[in-house]
Amino acid sequence: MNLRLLLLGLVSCSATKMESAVLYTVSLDTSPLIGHSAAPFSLNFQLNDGSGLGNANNTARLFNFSFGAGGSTGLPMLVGGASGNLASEILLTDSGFLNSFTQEFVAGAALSFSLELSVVGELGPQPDQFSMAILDQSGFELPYASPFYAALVIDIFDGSHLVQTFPTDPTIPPFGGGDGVSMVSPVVMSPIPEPDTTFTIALALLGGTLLNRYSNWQKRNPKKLREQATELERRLTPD
Amino acid sequence: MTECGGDSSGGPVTTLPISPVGSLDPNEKVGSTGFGLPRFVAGSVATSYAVFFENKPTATAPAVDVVVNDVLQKDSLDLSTVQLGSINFGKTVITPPTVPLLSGGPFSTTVDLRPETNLLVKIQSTLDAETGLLKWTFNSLDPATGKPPDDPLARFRPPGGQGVVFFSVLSKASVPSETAVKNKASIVFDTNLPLETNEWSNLIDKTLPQSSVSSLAATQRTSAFPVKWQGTDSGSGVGSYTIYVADDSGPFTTWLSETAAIQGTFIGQPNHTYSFFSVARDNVANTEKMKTVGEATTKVILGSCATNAAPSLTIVRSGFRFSNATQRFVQTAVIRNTGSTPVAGPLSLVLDALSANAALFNRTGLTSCASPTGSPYLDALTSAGASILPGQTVTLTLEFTNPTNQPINYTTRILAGSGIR
Repeated sequence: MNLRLLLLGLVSCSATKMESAVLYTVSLDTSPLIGHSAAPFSLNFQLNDGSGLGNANNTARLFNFSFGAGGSTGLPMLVGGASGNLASEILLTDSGFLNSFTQEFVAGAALSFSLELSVVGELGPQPDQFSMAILDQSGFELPYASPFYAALVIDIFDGSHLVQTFPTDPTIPPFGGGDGVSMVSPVVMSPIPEPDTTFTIALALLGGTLLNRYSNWQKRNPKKLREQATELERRLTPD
Repeated sequence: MTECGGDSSGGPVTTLPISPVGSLDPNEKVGSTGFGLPRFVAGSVATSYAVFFENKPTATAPAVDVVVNDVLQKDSLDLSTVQLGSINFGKTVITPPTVPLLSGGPFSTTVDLRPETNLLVKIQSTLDAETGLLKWTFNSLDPATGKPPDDPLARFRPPGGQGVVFFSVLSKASVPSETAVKNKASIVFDTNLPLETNEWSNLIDKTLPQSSVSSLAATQRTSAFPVKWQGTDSGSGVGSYTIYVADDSGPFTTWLSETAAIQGTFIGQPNHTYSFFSVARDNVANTEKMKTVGEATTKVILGSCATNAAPSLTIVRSGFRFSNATQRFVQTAVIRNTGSTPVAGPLSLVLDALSANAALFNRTGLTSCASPTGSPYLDALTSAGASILPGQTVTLTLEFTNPTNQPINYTTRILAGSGIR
C-alpha cells in the first residue's frame, strides 16, 4: 500500500467540507430523439440570478460534451452572461437575471457532459438556479414532468445546493410535432468536490511538509518503516 | 323699378352692400348648427339648410322674378337624397312632397295671392344632377293674362318682403370622417346681379366613440361600491354613456341611461356577482357598438378579512427558469409546516411588493381586504377541510410574465381561513 496515496486521499476528503464549487458528470439517454419528427433539437442551459442584483457570484462551466453518434450543429444563441459553444465548452455567469445558452445538436444514443458549478449562496430568499432542457424544432421545451420545463435543475442555496432531475412526459406530444417522447431523467454523478484554491494550496503545503518529514524519518528508520508498512498492509488486506 | 342691393333699372351697379354675415343679413344661408364651433354633424343624418332672401326695404318696387341658386358639392353630398322643405314668403307656406327631388321630378306649383294681391306666383324647384345646381324660381303672373303683370306694384316681392326656402341632403357614405361640407347660395332679383349668401360649413363626424368600465376589485366588502368608466371620441367628443349591468349570470340590463357622469355608486346584494360594460354616444349621436361581455366584474362579499397564517409555516423558494414554451419565468415555493400542530386551510400565498416589471400569471386573485391590498395571491389549500400536517409541505408553481427580463423580487405572506383575501 502506498502511504503517499493515503495521505493525498486525506487531503481530498478534507476539501469537501469547504466546497465552493462542484463537479458533476451528467448523462442522458437521447436515443428516443433519434429520427424523431420534432428534430432538430437544441440544448438549453440557464444560470439565472436569484438576488436580482446580477451579482455574478456563480458560474457554470460545461465541457467534455459527448453526443454518441450525434454532434453539435449551428451557432449558439446567447442571452446575458453566456458564452462558448457545444463544440468546445460553455461558460454561464449570473451577471444578468436571465443568462441562457441554446444551440442545436444532432441526437445520438447518449449525451454526456461535465458540469463545473460554483455554489455560492445568495443572501436573499431566492437562490441562483442552473437548469438544462432540450428544445424541439419549435424552440419549445420537450414536455417534461417538471414545473420548471426542464430535465435538470440545481438550486444554489446558502450552504447547500439541491439537484433535481425530471423525465419527459410521454403522454404529451412535443409542440414541434411527432409522438410523445419517453426520456428518463438525466443521471447526475455524485459530486466530486473541488477544493477551495487557497485551502488546497495550504493543504498541499502541509501535505508536502508531512511527506518531506516522513521521507526524512524513513531514511533514518528503514527497519521501523518496513514494520509499519507490513502492519498497515495486513490491516488493509481483506481476509 | 326693382332694387335689391343695387339698381335694377339696368344702370351701372356701383355697390353691392352685402352686410357681413349676421342675423340681420337679408340674404343668408343657414344650416344645421351641429355641435361645437366646427358644427359637427353625423354622417348618417341629413343636413338641413335654409336660404333667406329679402327685397331690400329701400327698394323702389317689388320684384317680379326671384331665383335662388344653390350649387351643392357633388363630391361630398349624395344628390339623390336632396329633399325640399317648405317654401315661405309673406303669409304663404308651401310644403312640397316629402320625396327626393331627383326621383320625384322637379317641383312646380302656382300660388294665388288674391284677393290681397291680384297676383299668381309660379314656383319651380329643380335639381341638376350633373352640375349639382338646386334652383328655386318665383315668377309673378297676372291672373288675367298669365303673363308678367303690368302693374308695377302688383308683384311678387314688395320692398322688405322676406322669403325662405328649406332643403335637406345626406352626405355620401364614402365621405371620410371630419370632411368639411360647405354650402352657399345666391339670389337673383329680376335682372340684378346675383347676391351671394354667406358660406355655411359643417364637419362630418362618423367616428364611433369608444368606452369601457374600469376594472373592479374581485370582491367588494360593502353593498355600495363605486364604478367608474371612461371614453374617447375623435370628432364631436363623447356626450353620454349608458351603463349596463348583469346580476350573476343574468342578462345585461340598463343601470344608467345616457348619463354624462363618469362614475356612479352601485348598490349590490351580498354574494351576488356583478358585471358591467358601457356604451358611449358622441355629441352627434354616433353610438358605440353594443357589447355582450362585461368589462368589469366584482362580487359583493360582506365579511371579515383573512388573517396571516401561523408563523410555523415557512416558505422556501427556488430559483427562476425561463420557459421558451410559455415565455414565462417559473419558480416553485415550498410551504412547510415546521410547527407541531396542523395548519388548516384554506391558505393563500401572497406576493407583496412584486417587481413592477413582472406579473404573477397564474394568480388566483388580488388581495382586496387583507392589507396590503392589490397584491397577487395564489391559493395553496382551497378547502377549509384540508390542512398541512407538521413536517408536511405544499409546493406551488409560480409563473411570471416578465417581458423585459428584469429581476423579479417580492416578499411573501400566507393568509389563512375563509376570510376575504
